[in-house]
Amino acid sequence: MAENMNEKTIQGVKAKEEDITAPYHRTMEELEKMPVLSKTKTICPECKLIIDGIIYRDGDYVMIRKYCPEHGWFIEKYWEDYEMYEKMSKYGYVGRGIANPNYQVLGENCPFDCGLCERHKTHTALANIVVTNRCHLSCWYCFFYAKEGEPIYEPTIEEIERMLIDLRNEKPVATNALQITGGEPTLREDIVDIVRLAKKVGFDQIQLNTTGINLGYNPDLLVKLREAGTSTLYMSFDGTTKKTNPKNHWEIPLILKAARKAHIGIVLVPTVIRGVNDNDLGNIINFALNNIDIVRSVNFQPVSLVGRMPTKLREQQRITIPGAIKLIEEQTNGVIRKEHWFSVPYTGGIAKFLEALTGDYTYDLSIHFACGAGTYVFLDKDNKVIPITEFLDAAGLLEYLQEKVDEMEGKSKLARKMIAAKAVLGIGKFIDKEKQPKGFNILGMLSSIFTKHNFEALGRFQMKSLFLGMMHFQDEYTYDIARVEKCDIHYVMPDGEVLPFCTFNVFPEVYRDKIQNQYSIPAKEWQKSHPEWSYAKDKYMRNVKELESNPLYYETYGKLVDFFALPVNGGKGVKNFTKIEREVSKIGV
Amino acid sequence: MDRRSTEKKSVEEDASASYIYAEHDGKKYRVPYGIIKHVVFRNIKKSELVDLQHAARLQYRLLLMEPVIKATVSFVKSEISILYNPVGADNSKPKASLEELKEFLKKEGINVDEKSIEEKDFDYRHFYTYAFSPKEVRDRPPYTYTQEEWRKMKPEVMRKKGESAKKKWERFLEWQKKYEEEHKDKL
Ligand code: SF4
Ligand code: SF4
Repeated sequence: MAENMNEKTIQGVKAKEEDITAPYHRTMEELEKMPVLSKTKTICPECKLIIDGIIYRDGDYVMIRKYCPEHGWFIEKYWEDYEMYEKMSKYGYVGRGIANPNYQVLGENCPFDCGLCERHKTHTALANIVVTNRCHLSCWYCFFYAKEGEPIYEPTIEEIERMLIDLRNEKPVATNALQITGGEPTLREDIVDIVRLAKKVGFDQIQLNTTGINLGYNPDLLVKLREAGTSTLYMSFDGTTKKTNPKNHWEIPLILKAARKAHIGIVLVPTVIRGVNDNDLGNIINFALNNIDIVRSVNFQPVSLVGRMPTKLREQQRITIPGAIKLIEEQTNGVIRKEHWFSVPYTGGIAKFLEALTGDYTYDLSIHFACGAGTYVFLDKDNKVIPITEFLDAAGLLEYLQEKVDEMEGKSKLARKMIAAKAVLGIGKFIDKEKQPKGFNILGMLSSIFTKHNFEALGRFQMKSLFLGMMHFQDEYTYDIARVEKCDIHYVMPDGEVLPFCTFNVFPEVYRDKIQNQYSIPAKEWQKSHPEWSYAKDKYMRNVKELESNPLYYETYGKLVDFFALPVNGGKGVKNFTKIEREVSKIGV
Repeated sequence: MDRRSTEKKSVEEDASASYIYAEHDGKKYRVPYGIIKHVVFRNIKKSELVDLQHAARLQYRLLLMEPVIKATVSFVKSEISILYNPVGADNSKPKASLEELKEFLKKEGINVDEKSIEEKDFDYRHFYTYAFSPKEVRDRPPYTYTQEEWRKMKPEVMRKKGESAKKKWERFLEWQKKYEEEHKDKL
């Protein structure tokens, strides 16, 4: 049969031209000419068939295209900067995996064999535990919280203990960092006991994923949580204005005040959506710098478009890690530039050096390079904002450490120590002392880590700096099995299984919701066993007028310093910065 | 080791219906299922499974069924294994019959060989226990060490690890004491 006029062959597969969807509306011929960067396995967003994914270069962009015999072509942005993709891909490596996976199958049906299965390549670095699906807000975009009449998922404290021990039993590296999440975890009356328990079973880092609202109103609870062992609040913060952050904009001033009293650090977590808050990224960093005494880090999360979505909307909202990084560069007037960022597995070089030296396992963040990126910025005594790679040759240092790791291989303990001692002496050449922030001793800190394995210095370092992180959770369109099989952010489940974030949330129908439903209690039963409880009582009612007239509101948003407008930082100022002041002044405080 | 019980809570203890419990270290854990079924369909025609990718999707589709607790579809072994909540089981969760599963598979293009079906009772708590106490399937040494070196080093490394965990806990308690003093009025 003659080939249909509109039908073309691409990579040996026949497809109709109109099947090629946005965002870039390329013709078959154009697509075929684009250089292929790598091949992977992905899924069809419609039917979940595992299909080939082609990662290719389209000008400045890196794209992924895939073809499902039943549902046609899908094209999506993978990374919005080819140069960064090239740089970051160099740091990828394959980790050691888990010695005692909770579900012992080979993983040939990945991502439907979780978990974790024997194939999984990275240990749990950050474990999430859902302690409730009740929430005091009802965000329109959230599929997670229990709506009125829906079953309640709330594991008992004994069940939680069992799950936590499950994580601590992971071999060869016991999970050290925990995020207590929900719903809103502070709705549980025993939340302090849960933190206490987590600390007791051995977690070093305990984050509480919260809107912060309850804590803003109840600062004593925050003190109790800190005392029990909570390390940081992991708090949604989508922007600096009412429009970009409708979730907790008005309560932020109360929360910051409570956190200062309790001496607890905050991680601001903006979900970045193109066309919604992507013009507020510089402002968010500025806001964090203004509160650097308690804000430890900003963890940007380019939106993951979970669920089926029309192409046009995806095209409008999609933003990837480099896309957000480039906007930050633009909005901070080039102070925080794209070359300042590194992919997460960069840290693997340091982990390997420490392991080679001590013979003990260290945290091994061997995730896929495309999943996450980060950098540190410092605020020195003169209020100069200095990204770490301005004075530390991070790429050179990593190469150097790798050489030393190779040298140590096969040597005795003593010889390894000698090599490490010499290595530490050589680190100085990677630091530009002229450019390093005034009052910081980076060399001292690195030496302390490498020789005494003393990470407390890193803690002090964090106190004077801001960690900027990015994690782009996957969705059906961007899905890359090469990424998820290396995932290190996991959920522990009440049936003992441990699930990667990007299977738990991308396929909730077979993971998150399925298992939580099994362990949930019907609303009526919940009501019977909790006679004091009602759905309405959980819900938060905001009094905007009262919150805006609180002097703290003006203190927080009206007196911000624009660090990027200072001459020491180039003097140009953050785009849209004045908006914040105008908005506050409008209310006449 | 887990001791198991299908004991039911008394009406006074809980206003709701009966629950199923698993016991571990003297503690009770409520579980959704007790005795369920494990069915294995062997000798599935490779042509019906199509390929590895279609087998994985079939597994996904089986998992979409609420009564299916776990499913594995192995293209290599030509086998489908399903843990499911059978009609008649003593729990309040959604249920399915073997016939319904076969019908579902038929719609998916799989004609099961009646002679190669193996079905038996399965205690859900076995699955639960197994996931909570997984055995070690490998023992990889730290980076740059050989298996032989690791074998010799391991006891000492583990001893040190235990010590440093103890020290860390003591440091935390010290910090906590100080913090409590500073925040006496709030705690
Ligand atoms: S994501 Fe990991 S745990 Fe899940 S099936 Fe793939 S390799 Fe296994
Ligand atoms: S959570 Fe998703 S984006 Fe993050 S490491 Fe895991 S697979 Fe990658």
